[in-house]
Amino acid sequence: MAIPLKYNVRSLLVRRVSTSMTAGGIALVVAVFVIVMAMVAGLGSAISDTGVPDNMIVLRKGATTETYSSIQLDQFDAMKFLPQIKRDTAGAPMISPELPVQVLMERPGGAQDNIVVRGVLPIALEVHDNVHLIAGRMFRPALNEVIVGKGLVGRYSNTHIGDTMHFGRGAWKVVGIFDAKGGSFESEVWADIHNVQDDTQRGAYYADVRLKLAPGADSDALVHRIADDPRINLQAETEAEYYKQQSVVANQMRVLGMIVAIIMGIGAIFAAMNTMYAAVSARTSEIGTLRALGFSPGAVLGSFLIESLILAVAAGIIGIIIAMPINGFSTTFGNFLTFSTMAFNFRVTFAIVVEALIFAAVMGLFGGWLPARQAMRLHVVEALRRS
Amino acid sequence: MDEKYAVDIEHVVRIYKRDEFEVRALDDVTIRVPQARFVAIMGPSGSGKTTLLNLIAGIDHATSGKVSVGGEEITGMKERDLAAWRARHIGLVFQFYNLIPVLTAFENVELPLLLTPLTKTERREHVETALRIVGLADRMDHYPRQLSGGQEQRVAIARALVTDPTIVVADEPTGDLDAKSAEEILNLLTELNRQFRRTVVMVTHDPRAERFVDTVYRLDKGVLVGVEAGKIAPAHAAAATAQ
Repeated sequence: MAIPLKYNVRSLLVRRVSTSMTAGGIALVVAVFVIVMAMVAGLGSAISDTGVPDNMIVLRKGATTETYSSIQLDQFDAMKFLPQIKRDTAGAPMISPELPVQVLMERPGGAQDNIVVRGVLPIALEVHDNVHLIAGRMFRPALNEVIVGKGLVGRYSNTHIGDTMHFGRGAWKVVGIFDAKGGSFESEVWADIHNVQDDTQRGAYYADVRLKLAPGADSDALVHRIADDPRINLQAETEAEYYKQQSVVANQMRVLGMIVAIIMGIGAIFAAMNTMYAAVSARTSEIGTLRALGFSPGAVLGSFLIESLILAVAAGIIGIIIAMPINGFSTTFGNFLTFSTMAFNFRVTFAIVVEALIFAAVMGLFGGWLPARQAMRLHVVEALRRS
Repeated sequence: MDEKYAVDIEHVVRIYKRDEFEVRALDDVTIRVPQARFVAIMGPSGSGKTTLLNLIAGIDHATSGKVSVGGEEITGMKERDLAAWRARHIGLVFQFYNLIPVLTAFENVELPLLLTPLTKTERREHVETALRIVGLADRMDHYPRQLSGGQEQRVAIARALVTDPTIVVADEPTGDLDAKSAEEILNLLTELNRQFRRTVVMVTHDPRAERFVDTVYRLDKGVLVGVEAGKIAPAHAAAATAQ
């Protein structure tokens, strides 16, 4: 049987100061880990949740984002009656030409960010079925009216219903607020596409087209048709694929976060190691006694490893508690792929909590391994002499 | 090897290496302790008493020679096997008690029982019995810091006898105690030996111990220089004779 757990727990409590210092260090590392991962999860989620499973996005061939894409009206006309596109109850194809442009918007403090103003037609709300008006009404065409994503409301000046926004060459009246289930559309302003075309003087073209697949439609056939039809000659992919590529930003943040966490974790490992070495040194005669009583070297190794593990996991739990208030915290991020600012919420998911505990446990195991091995290797007679 | 001997040590040599020097702690020592005896190993500091006791307790290895305890030769045992053997056969009492400070008297006494297949209920019964024998049934929940030196040593003796070991080895059990407590501990060890017929091997400097033991083995500079009968006090002698 192993050395009882209460021996380890009470020994940790007896050394309150060193235990607290080490636990504090590990807790802070875990808190930083949780915060970074929550940011990455929130960002990734904001990007990937933007897509709808049965929607496709059509771009100019070779374009990697909407920013680098342009579609002519005749290309749009050639594709809008393709049989794979779903029809609404009135029989109209659910296809949404769109023109996102970047405008500078002012924060209440005076700073400015690039925000996407997406020119769309009213059909957009049917195609993007994760987008819903939560206040006000839809804009009316040709009246310089806009609806605002809820991620912008209050974060930027003049974003409430009834306010007048100033960007481009005109003044735009806010008539509605929309929700996009946490997706990046919530960080956009939507306006009538023809108003946007006129205001930006870009002529009659679109940046991209979104379409909803008819139930059971062969998406591969549609992709090939859009690519191979000389009248269309564009590239199509599912929104899921498109936003997966966009989430490279989140993945890069994740790698960066992991590197920071690992470097901090190494520091915490040394702190844990120092504490456990001190524990072994202070309890040498106890180790000798346990060994003399018949506890095996492996039992001693296990006992000190478990002690280190208890310390680290308890600290990990504290770190998670410290970081928890960040859950749901809303912030913005400058997406270098779209040259625009995106609002998103930090998300402390169950997976992140589990990862944080595993991270803490790994710090405990690495920090405890060498001291525990030293405890295991103590010669009984030598250890007892320290009495 | 004869099973009538609780301890059978033949031509044991123990050499320690200290940097480039070799220290001959024991030099060709042969000792046979019959079953159920209370013996003392005495001698000046550095005479090899504790080294001999450590060999008997299986916490040190002889450089050469044979060590058998309870009829089992332990000389060539591997450390893991030796640890299990100690748990079954040896009860240890140390000069400084060596109780685990974060465990209560009950929990300290229970420690060696965790290495046995006893159930929790059985362990509790054994521990309570052991603490009752040493007169500390009312101190079960006390931590070592809440006990006097004599009481701590009593707990250590309870821990040594709780597994019903083949042999109890005690290293200077009275060395850190006042005269009254030392007397009580020696009486307790004597009772353990006489009443429960446990073999007790004790290393001591304390000349009073001679009044309690059957045999005194004298060591000097690692060599056995004498074996003498103890000077058992009349009360103890009467008890011994009655058995």
